[in-house]
This record gives sequence, C-alpha cells and structure tokens, in this order.
Amino acid sequence: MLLGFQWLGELAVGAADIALPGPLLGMLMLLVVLTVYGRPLEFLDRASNLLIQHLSLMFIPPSVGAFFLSQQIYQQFPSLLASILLSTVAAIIFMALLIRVLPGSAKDRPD
Amino acid sequence: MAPLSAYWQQISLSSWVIGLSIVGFVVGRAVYQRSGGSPFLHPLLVGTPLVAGILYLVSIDFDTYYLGNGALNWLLGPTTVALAVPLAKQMRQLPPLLLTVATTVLIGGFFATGCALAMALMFDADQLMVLSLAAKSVTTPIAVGITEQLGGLVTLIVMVVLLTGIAGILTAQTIFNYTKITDERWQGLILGISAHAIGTARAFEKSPRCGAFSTLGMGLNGIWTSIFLPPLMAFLL
Repeated sequence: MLLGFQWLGELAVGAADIALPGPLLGMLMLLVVLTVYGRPLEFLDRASNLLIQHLSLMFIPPSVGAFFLSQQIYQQFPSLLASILLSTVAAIIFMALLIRVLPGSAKDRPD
Repeated sequence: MAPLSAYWQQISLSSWVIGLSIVGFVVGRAVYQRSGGSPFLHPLLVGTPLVAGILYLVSIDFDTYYLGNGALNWLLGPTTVALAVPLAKQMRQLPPLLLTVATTVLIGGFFATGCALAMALMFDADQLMVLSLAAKSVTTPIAVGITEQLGGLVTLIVMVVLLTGIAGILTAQTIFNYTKITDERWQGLILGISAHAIGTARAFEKSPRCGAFSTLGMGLNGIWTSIFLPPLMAFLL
C-alpha cells in the first residue's frame, strides 16, 4: 500500500511536472486519504512503524559518505558547522517569540 | 564450479556491505540506549564513523559500499510515504489551533531555512554547499528527496540534518526558559519544525502531547519546505 502511494506520487510528479519528490507527494495523498477515512488501519500502522523505527539504518550509507568527501568540502566544514548551529538557534528563538506574539497561544491552557 | 564462484564473487562484492550498515546501526543503537539517550551519542554519530573506519581498514571504496546498499536506499521511498500515518493521527488536533500552528510552520519553517542559507552565503560557502545545506531542518527522508532535486550532495545533507537536530535539542530548553514558552504543545511544535525527528524523539520524552505536536510540526514543515525551497533556490542562485 505504501509502495502503491509512492508509485502514485511518482506517477503524478512525472505526469504533471510538479517540483516535489515523488514519495513526498505520495505521502500527501496518503495523508489526505487517511484524514478523510478517519480510522487507523492496523496493517498500515504496523508497516509504517517498522519502517520509521529503522530510519537510522537507512541513513547510515549516505552519512558514511560524509567521511569520503572532497578536500574542498572539508575546508568549509567549520563554516558549515557554524551556519547549522547559529541558524538552528536563531530559528528556535524566532519561533518562540513568534508564538508569544500570536493571540491566545502564549498562555498555558490546562485540559 | 567457475560460474558459481563468479556469481558468489559478484554477490559478495555488491550486497554484503549492507551487513556493515546493519552492524553500524546495531552498535550505534546499543551505545545510544546504554547512554540513556545522550544526543552526542546518537546512533548515526556512533554507527557512521564505525562503518567508515571499517571501509578504510579493508579498503573498500565508498561507491562500492553505497551501490551495495541500494536496497536500504530504496526503502527510503516507502518510508517517506509512511510518515503520513503518524501525521494523520495528529490532524484531528489541528482545527482549533490552526492559526498558531499554521503561522509558526509557515513563517518559522521559512525563517529556519532562510537563516541557514543567509549564514552559509555569509561564510562564503560555495554553491554546492549551499544546495546541500538548504533542506537542513526537514526530516531526513524528505530532505534527501529535496536535496536530490536541488542537485546538492545527499551524503552531506544527512549529516547536516543530523547536526541540526542535535543543535536543536541541545539549545531548545534553554531558549524555552528564557522566552517563557511553558506550554508543551508549543515546545513540541518548535522542536518538530527546527529539529525534525531528533527533536520529536526528545519531545516524546517530555510527554506524548509534546511529541504529538512535534510530529505535526515536523510533518507540516517537511511538506511546506519542499514546496517553497526549489523556487527559492532557483531565485537565489
């Protein structure tokens, strides 16, 4: 079923020339279907849990690649690291302040 | 006998390296769990150098290893689709909080990416670098898809996303204290938008509610970023 939606997504991307990754569009389609359907599907839950729990495993091959990059990229590593750190911190501060100024969201509401 | 050994050689040359990835994953996860979930010992931060070290020791080049892991890479597609399942479960919470959630995702997600791009340009990173950095606050399967499309380095984005997540969970609590964001729903939302799956894992440690909002932030931001980023990059570069 997941593959079906990925295939649908890729088909739609190919057909309509949309600038989105096919699997992502497939995810959106599945999201719409599940939201409309409104009830969890046992087998889909299990399959997606299994995949999501092993996500780290799938990321090992590409991240190993980070050890085999060109010298040119390593020279930029400090600036890369600095960009990541500073922009992440800036983004969190920004969103925290944003939420404070949005109406009715800054207070705790117990329920 | 000859054709059999030739076959075996071909198989052993291509797919056995998946075993290395699995070893890296299992060791990385074991270390992570032993440490009680220290962000510095994330499974990828432990497993990846281990695998890279083995590749160096037995002198396998990276391309051989990467191609041999095709099956694992292939799994990323259906896993991206699978992210819809936890996200769909959170959609019911959305309507009454739509204004805050939507504004934070739309503006915050854009700011997170824009800020990273601005910094990278400020530090004179070259174009390939900027392309490989752009999708940094998006959950990895989506980030990989976006980066492939932009023409960035997939090998780099995975590390960038991981480091972003670690930076996020290391600093978020301090920032929440200073800005007095005490509501766990918003803490979760911010963690999900800025630190994707790593932030979401941390949010679930706080409370299921916090985790749910983090899932929501992560999923919505992933969708939103993949929509605005390609045109933005085309405009910038």
